[in-house]
This record gives sequence, structure tokens and C-alpha cells, in this order.
Amino acid sequence: MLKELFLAIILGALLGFGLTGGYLAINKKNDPNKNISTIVTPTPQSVENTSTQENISSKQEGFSFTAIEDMDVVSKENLIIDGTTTSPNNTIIATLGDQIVNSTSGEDGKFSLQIKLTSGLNNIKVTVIDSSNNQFEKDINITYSTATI
Amino acid sequence: MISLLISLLFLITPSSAIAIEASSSANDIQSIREVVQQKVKEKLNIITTPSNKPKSFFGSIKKINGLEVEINQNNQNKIITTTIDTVFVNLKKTKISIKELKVGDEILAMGYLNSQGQLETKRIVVIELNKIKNNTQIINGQVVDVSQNSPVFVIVPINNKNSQYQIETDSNTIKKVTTGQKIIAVIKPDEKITNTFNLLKIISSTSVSTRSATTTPKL
Repeated sequence: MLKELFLAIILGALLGFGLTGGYLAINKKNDPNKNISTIVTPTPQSVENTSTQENISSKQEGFSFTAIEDMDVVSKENLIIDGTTTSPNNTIIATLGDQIVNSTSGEDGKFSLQIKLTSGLNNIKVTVIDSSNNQFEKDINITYSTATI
Repeated sequence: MISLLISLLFLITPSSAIAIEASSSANDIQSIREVVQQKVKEKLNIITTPSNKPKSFFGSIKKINGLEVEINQNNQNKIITTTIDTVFVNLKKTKISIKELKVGDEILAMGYLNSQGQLETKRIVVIELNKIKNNTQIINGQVVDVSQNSPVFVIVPINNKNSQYQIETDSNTIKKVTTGQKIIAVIKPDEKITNTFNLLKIISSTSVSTRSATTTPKL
């Protein structure tokens, strides 16, 4: 009787630990709150170019552009770079050739910069620095052409 | 034996609770999966729908196959298609034919994306990519040393204290730079001197305590 009782305790303990461990592991893996907070919308392979992928994900990386897209072809010399930063009052700097323009995003994170394009391909570098000194950079390539496309 | 049965009974009871929890988690996973599938579908629709906005591809030519040109753009292969109406322009801005293009030429192609992600090109211009590359850098850092003999100062980025930038400027600007100052500097590599950068602009500067300055490199 004592032997059976002892055996039962050992077996019970082993199974109990196993099931508890398994239960906790399942719970940790399937925690709905955890899953929701870590869902990342898949970024499909863009057909436009490699940099576009960066632009799509740039919202998670500090800022995003609202009107322009990488690899756009425009027919106006003055380009307005509108965008939104994920936090307010960030420093925004855009460079192209000798041009350096800077601004600060508003309380709503919105910013707007104007840069003068040269004929052909323009490799514009946009940098955002937030109040915690995090720095985010994106290159956008905009083609300026007055020819009929 | 009775104890063994009692122990097993205790073990069976929480298992059913686990089953319920697992079922609930499975429902959550399913709903998340549906949301993700919906998002993927939306994104795919955006991508596969041909754009009505003109787009451009650029890179060096890898292969020319009839009216189809394959280019390498940032280590990705892109296909551009041409027609007899496509305009080709060389570096001297003279109109040429597709036969004058060769592998290795760097081109800028303008046109419209089709549903296969290929660019149906209206205009191809031969370019020099090294002249277009933007090599400016933005450094948000702290001045750790200012040379007494030349208009040169050193800054250490706030987010990467293991690196430092030796920056050359003019005699007027150097007077405004002091050790310990926090600045956002726009710089570009000096074409003649390695590991030296030219200052293009100081966006903002703030005087801060010099206590956090960790290194004082020799200039």
C-alpha cells in the first residue's frame, strides 16, 4: 500500500509538472495580447524597387512619406516632400546635391519640405532625428523629366 | 491502488481546463491569421494593379534581349521592356537606337509598370550613377575636440560613441564650434583626404556639459 502510494505521488508529480509546463508554454506562445502587439503587417516584395520596401516599412522606422513614392517621375522642378513622423517635434533634414533643407515636424508629426530637382535622376536623402536622438534615414529616387512619358 | 486512481483523477481535471484554454487560443490564432491574410491580399492588390503614375528604374545593363533589357538596380534584377516608340538618349543627350546600348551601360528608364512588375519604357537615358549618388551624412553628435591650428573638429555620434568624425570647415565656422557642444552636422567625405569629412552645414547646436565627452583624439 505504501509502495503504491509512493509510486502514485511520484507519477502524479511527474505528470503534474509536465502538464503544468506544457500549459504555461502554450499560454506563453498563444497569449492574444502578445500576438496582437507583435503583429507586423507583411511587407510584400515590391515590384517598384528595393528602396520602396524601405519606404513601406519606414512608418515603423520613424517616419513615412505621404505624397511621394520612391522611383516617381515628376514633371515639376520643385518637389514637396510631405510626411509624418511617429513622434512630434522631430528634426527633418533633406539633402540633394548642394541643397540642404530642414524643418521640424509638428505636434501631429506632420512635416513638409521643398527641394529643387535637377533634370534626370535625383537621389534625395531624408533624415529624421527624434527627441530621444534616434536617427532614421531614407533614400528616395525621384526622376525629374519634362519629356512626355 | 486507490491513491493512484485519486492522483490520476486530479491530473485529469486540469487537463480539461487546458483544453478549453487551448481552444480559445486557437480561435485567437485563427482570427489573427484572417486579419493577416486580409492585409496581405490588400497589399498584393496594390502591387499587382498596374500603376498609372510614371515610374523609373535605373541601374547597369546586364542583358539585352531584343526589345527587353535586364538591369541591375541595387543588386536586384529588373526587366524593362521597350517598343519601337521608346526614345533612347546617350550621355551627350543625342538620340540613339537600342542597338547602341551595351552591357554595363548605366541607364535611367522611364515608363509605366505592368502587372508583372516590368517597366514598359517610354524613354531611356544613359547616365553616370556615381555622379548622382548622394553621399552626404547627417551626424547628430557631440564635439569632443577642436583643433587650435586648423579649422578641424571632431564629433562623436550620440548613438555610436565608438566612432568619431574628423570634420574640416572654414575659419569662420570653426570659431563657433566649442568642445562639448551638441550639434547636428551635414557632412560629406573629403575626396582628397581619407577619413576626413567636409562640413556642409550645422543644422542645430546646443551647448552641453563636457562631462560626457569620452575621447579627445589628436588632430
